[in-house]
Amino acid sequence: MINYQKVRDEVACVAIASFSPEIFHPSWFTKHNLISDAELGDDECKIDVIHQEMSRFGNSWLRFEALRDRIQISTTDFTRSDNLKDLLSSILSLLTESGCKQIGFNRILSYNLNAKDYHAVGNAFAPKKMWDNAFEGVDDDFGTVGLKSLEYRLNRSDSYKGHYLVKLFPSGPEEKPEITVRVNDHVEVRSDEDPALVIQEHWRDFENMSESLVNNILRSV
Amino acid sequence: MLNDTFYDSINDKDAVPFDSLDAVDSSYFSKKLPTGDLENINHHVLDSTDNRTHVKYDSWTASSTKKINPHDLDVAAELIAHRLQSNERKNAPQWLVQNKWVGYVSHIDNEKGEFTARLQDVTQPDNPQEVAVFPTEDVSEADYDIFSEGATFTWSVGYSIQNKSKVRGGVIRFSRFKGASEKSIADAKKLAEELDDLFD
Repeated sequence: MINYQKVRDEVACVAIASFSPEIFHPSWFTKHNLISDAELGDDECKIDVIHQEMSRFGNSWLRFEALRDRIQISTTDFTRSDNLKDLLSSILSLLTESGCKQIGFNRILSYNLNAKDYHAVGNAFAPKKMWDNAFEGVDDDFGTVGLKSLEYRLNRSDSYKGHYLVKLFPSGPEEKPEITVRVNDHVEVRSDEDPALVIQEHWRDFENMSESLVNNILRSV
Repeated sequence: MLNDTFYDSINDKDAVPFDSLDAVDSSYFSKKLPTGDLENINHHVLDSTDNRTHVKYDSWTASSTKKINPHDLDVAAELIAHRLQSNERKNAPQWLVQNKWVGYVSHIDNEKGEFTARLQDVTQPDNPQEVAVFPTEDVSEADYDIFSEGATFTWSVGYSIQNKSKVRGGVIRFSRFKGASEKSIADAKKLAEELDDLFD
């Protein structure tokens, strides 16, 4: 059993649909009371670009990006997770004609480990001995092998159509070992489903499933 | 692991070791980008569409092309992006939530400066509903406009970490959900009518 300590907890959500990126000016969000005036004021909000091909802005807790075929919103503050849920579902509720076909719920969890446990994670998922043997003849000076990233996909078995994609990779500098696990919970929205309600109804399962999944993975090492 | 040398593979005398991503952030890009653009580093994108490194910023400009292994670039792009986001996060307090409740404001007492709410534990959903009283000052100024009886919120309890200091606490965030779409409500009404007809 390894010891690991959570150091970051991020959420990102993507909706695949047809959008006109230029409408997503911060004033559109305050007009519809999706985000408060105080959080999108000139001092709080930084606009990168508002254009017919792309809109992107952010404030202290939100990063928003719209392209013609998708919206992506994310936060590095997990206490804002429900705000993210409400924001994306409200946008899709207002823009029903956008025809949302797919929704990606993403949780990105990072953990600090000591060096021994850090290498134990790599060894558990990609045993070094096997790879060392495979690289026979390679000079030791070339450097040791190690896990760079691992991706695992599973078709979902709940009432939604879609899949889970889990990616594990090292994310810290050598002197401060850290691993990150990204859980992508992908839902194909059926034509008879309201995407806003799919987000509202599925969000809690997504939050709980992603956290317990990562704990299950790390506890198995 | 990270100690593979991504930049060695491009045989550049100015190469920065891949495991020194902090150095990549500051020194590598500062050589490649006009002065003043470095502060926008979080908006740069590394692209591997033609096996070359494209550093894009403000979504319009591309610069700095170097031929490298496309797989290394994929991994590098992801890790660099992750590190860039990490830098952004260093300045913001990080909340590590241990428990979360969804709350419903049932009563506001302006004289006492407090409000009463019904709470449902969402971290452990089997727990029974609870009632709690919060000081009104716990409501963020940004949420004053929607703070009213009937409003819903989340109450997250955990640790806030900033500048290596760890402080236990809780934070309340109010919901601004606009509700189901008109089409969805119309569909639900239609279904209700159809079900109602079955009982006639």
